[in-house]
Amino acid sequence: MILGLCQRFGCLPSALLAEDVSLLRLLQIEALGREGESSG
Amino acid sequence: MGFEEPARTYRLVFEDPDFAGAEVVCRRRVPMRVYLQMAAAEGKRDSAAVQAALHLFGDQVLESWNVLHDGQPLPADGEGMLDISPEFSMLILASWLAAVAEVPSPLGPASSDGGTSGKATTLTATASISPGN
Repeated sequence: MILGLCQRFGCLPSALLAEDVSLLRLLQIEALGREGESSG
Repeated sequence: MGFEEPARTYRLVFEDPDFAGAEVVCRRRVPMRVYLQMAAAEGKRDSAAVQAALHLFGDQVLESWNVLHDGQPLPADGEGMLDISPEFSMLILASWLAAVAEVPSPLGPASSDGGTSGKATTLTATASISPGN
């Protein structure tokens, strides 16, 4: 997960690990949006 | 004059009769590093790793609680987290992990507390979580 997110955001793991955990919610909201797109 | 954003918290309230009445206030904003350490410890059997994670949780995530031990307030820190039962500490940890990472359903249960701090949304079978401030 960490390396995937680093690749996505173009940052080092150290930067990602210092990022606020609210990023996880953002990712989940985005995933819910994608689900809606694919089912709708 | 400067402005400092208030520290946002979750207030965990437990529905399990064994822990009814306990209120645990935890930080919402923590580095991803701390979250991943907690998530890795959840459900592990390696007691040293779990103890380290609980201690870290108490020091970096726990803001306050109303937990007593022999009638005396237990400090809301790493030592306090290790003084409560493993069942309670893991329940607190699991509830917080769910609260920070999960997006509440827009059609979740309605609030029944009447408070102004936001809706109480049940995220697990045993704990309800509402924004503290």
